[in-house]
Amino acid sequence: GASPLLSLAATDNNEGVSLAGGMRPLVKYPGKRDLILVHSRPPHLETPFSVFNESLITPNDAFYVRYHLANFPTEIDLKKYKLNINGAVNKTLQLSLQELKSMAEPVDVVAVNQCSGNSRGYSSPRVFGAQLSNGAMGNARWTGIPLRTVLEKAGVSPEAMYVTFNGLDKPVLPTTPDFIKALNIEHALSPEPLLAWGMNGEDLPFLNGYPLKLIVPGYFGTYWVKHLSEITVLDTEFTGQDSYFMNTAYQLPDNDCLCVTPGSTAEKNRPISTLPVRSFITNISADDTLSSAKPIELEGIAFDDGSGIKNVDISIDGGLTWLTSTLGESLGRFSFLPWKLTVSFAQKGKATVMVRASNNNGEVQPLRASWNHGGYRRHAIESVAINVI
Amino acid sequence: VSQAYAAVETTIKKITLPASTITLPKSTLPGYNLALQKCTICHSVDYIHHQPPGMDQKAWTSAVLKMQHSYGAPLSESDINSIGAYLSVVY
Ligand code: HEC
Repeated sequence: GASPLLSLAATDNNEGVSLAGGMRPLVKYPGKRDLILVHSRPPHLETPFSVFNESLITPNDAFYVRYHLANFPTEIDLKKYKLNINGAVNKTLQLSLQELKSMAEPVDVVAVNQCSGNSRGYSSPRVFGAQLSNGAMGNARWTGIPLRTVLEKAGVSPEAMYVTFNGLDKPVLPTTPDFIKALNIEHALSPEPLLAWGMNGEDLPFLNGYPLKLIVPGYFGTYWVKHLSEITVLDTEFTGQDSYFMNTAYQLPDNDCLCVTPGSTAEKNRPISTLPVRSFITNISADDTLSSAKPIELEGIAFDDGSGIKNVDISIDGGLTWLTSTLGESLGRFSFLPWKLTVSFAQKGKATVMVRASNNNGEVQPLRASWNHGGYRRHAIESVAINVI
Repeated sequence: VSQAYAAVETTIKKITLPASTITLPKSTLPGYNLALQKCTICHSVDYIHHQPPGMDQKAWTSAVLKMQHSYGAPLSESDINSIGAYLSVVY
């Protein structure tokens, strides 16, 4: 498999990921700048990694796009749009966006949305699925109201177990499962999940789920259902054909490492959930040439599930010794956290710069990536191979 | 512009998506024509084109089988084998 060490050169839209069909083109979609094409129907677009060096907040026009099902709306009329709340509730609700906006004082959260398959292209051995580099993530300020506000208004049954979320996207054939995700009732009633209409002070971009998106801070992007149109409270398990994307896809081995030996299968699986601690260097990329004559300030980002970043350590000698970076100002515990460290390269020639984050939950990024069938949840230490002159 | 007209304009958002430009590699194998017909029903062929290189016939055939058993793709057993064989040759 390809290694992130190999090439992240700016002109290479594969960003170090080799593909059967060759290069992924840059494409222009509505409301977006040029992004890397993963799939066109339904659209799946990756953010070029250089964007993460521009700002801590990922601009709306650069934010990655992911759909699963090709039968989704390309036109939405707010006069007709409704959010339906039904199932094990006292009273079903049908809310317009305007009604939702006036139900409670809007709240903001800055949170990272990372795709479960971010960096899947570096899985070794390789697995089928979207061959992503590291750009299927973004950090934005989301504005909306807490999910629990609408659930409380509907009156959740004391027997409730799960809440499911469906959007306006539909499968092309009826034999294909719909894309529906579930949260357990405690999580759904916690203060964290939001029903958001705002992203970085604007309406959600169409392709990121206009007019309403479920925000699940600290959880992988698969739960952040787009074009949200139906919330169903269940007093049973979530089963049936349309539970596929919850119960069959997006599964991890249910063991301590959430991994298996390549080729083997786990006895039990469980749905993917929270973000493991992860960090990147954003201001250098593979094959860059750096000078030994003067110090250089390295910069980057770290994030996790909201436990809080403890340290971000840097190695410029391929992992032999580690230096502690300075953490920047926090935009909130679910946000990218910036870090900086000034380093000097004493020797000329090839060097490997590595970044390793730890969090308040005792998690530390591992040196080697573990493996699972879906190529999910990659969070191994990132290495950047450079030349020093 | 009347107020009613302005309000109508702002309640509708509409986008137009660019067409797919990626095509399947041509081949005289029977799987090529089958793939053209069957693999574009639910998604564009970049789903196939942008997979890892070097997947063998067994891996491609099981990827096609997944389309039938997980997503209900209308494929016979012989379709699955022909398409798997074609994909392992061209990719
Ligand atoms: C009935 C619908 C349907 C048909 C027909 C279909 N697919 Fe798919 N395919 C899907 C869905 C749904 C996905 C998952 C989409 C997503 O998650 O973005 C998918 C994903 C894929 C993927 C990505 C890997 C993965 O497992 O997610 C590949 C490769 C693929 N299809 C190949 C094919 C080939 C080859 C054919 C023709 C033999 C085909 N598909 C026909 C529905 C279909």
